[in-house]
Amino acid sequence: MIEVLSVFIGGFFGAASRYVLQIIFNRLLPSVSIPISILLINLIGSFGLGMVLPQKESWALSLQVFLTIGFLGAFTTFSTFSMETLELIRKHRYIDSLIYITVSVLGCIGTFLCGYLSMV
Amino acid sequence: MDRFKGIFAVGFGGAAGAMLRYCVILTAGHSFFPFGTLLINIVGSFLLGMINGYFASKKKSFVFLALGSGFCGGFTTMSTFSQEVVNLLQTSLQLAGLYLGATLLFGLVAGFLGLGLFNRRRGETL
Repeated sequence: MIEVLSVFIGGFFGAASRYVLQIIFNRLLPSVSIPISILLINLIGSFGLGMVLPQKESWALSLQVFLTIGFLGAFTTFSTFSMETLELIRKHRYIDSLIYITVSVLGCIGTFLCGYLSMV
Repeated sequence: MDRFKGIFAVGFGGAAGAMLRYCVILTAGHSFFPFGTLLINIVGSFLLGMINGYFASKKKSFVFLALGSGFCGGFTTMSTFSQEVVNLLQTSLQLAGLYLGATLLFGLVAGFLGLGLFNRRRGETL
C-alpha cells in the first residue's frame, strides 16, 4: 500500500516537472522541425532511469518505485509523443515524423544505456 | 497564479496516471514480454487522442491539462519502454523488435483513432 502512495507522489512530481520543463524548453529552445521539448524530456528521463537501476537494489521498495515508476515513469511520456508524431503526419511532414520517431526511440534506448553504463 | 493551478492540475493527473500504471504492471506480472507497458502506451495514446480531439474546438481548461498532460502523460511512459527494449535485447532480438514495432504501430494507430472519434464531427481528416 505504501508503494502505491509513493508511486502517486512520484507521479505528481514527475508530471509536474515535465509540464514546467516543457514550458521552459518551449520558450528557450530554438524552433526546429521536430517537437524538441518532449524529445529532450524523454531523453533525460530515460537517462535518469538508466542511472537509477544499477543501484536501486540497495534501497527500500517504496523509494525504488517512487523514482522508477512514479517520478521517471510520469516524467517521460509516450502518449504526447504519439500525438506530436500524428501532428507531423497530418501536416504531411513525413520525413520529419520519421526523424522524430527514430531519434525518440533510438535516442531514449541510447540514453538509457548511457545512464546505466555510467553507474555500473 | 493560473500557472500554478496548471502545474497542480498536471501533477494530480500525473499522480493518478502513474498509480494506475503501477496497478496494471502489478496485475500483468512478470512475463517474457512486457504486455503491461504495451497495453498502457496503446490505451494512453488512444485516450490522449480522444481528449485532444474533444478539446480541439473547446476552451482549454484545467480539466484538459489534468486529463491530457497529466493523466495520459503520466500513465504512458517512454523510460520504462526503453528499459524493456534493452532487457529484451539481451535475450531475443526478435522479441525486442516485435515489442518496439508493436508499441509504435499500435500506439500511433490508437492515437489516430482516438483523435478521429471527435474530429470527424468537425469535418477534419488526418
